[in-house]
Amino acid sequence: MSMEHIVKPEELPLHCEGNIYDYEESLHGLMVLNATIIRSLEEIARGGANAVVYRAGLKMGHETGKYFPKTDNVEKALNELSEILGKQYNFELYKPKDKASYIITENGETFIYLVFRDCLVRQTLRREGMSQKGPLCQSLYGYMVGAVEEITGRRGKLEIVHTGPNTCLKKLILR
Amino acid sequence: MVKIVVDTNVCIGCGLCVHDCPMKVYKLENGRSVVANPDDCMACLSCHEICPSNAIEHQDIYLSRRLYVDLDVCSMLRRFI
Repeated sequence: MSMEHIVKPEELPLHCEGNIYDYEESLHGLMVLNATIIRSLEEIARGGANAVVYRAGLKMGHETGKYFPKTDNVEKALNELSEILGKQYNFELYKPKDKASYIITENGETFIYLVFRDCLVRQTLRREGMSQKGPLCQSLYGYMVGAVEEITGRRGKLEIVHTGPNTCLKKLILR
Repeated sequence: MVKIVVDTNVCIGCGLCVHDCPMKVYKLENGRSVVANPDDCMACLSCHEICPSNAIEHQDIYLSRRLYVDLDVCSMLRRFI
């Protein structure tokens, strides 16, 4: 083989190229793979599957949180996080009509409602006909808890209040 | 603000939307579902999915992007429909 056919690593294109439909196919492949891994994990580890996926989400959350300036203002931190995450997990703070502020204190617990609009977990689950609120949703739980922990230093818990085809409602309980 | 329209001619008053909505947007009145609290609707569209008579319609909502549409299957279906 002549020297001109050797491709050096620095010659690899830095930009994504090709047809958008090719990416869509890869994306579907990834979604199927993800769903299959979770299904198998559920079969083998049963209840432990939630813990594994939660842990993965927690790590992702901590990693993302490192890029944010530390603040003790949870509301501001969440708004910034939502902006950065954009289309991956597009969420916003939610306030029922009768509440004055996003941070709600009820029955001795302080929490914030989060409405998740675009969510890659929901897309994967619905693509594969799997039910929501399962182990894969725990990744979001871990993600939010990890990010909030990293940014504000406060520990938290995410409760899935409601899941729907277009939006999911979650409750971030602050400790 | 989200605008929700319930087609009362189609609604069978099963109450599934009332039961399923986490924000208590609907209530039953005279055996039909009516929108009681539209301001709290977060557009999850669970009511859409659960309604057996397809009587609910939402306007001016954010539709989350769908990535799970299999284009090959859709093009195949288009040949039959």
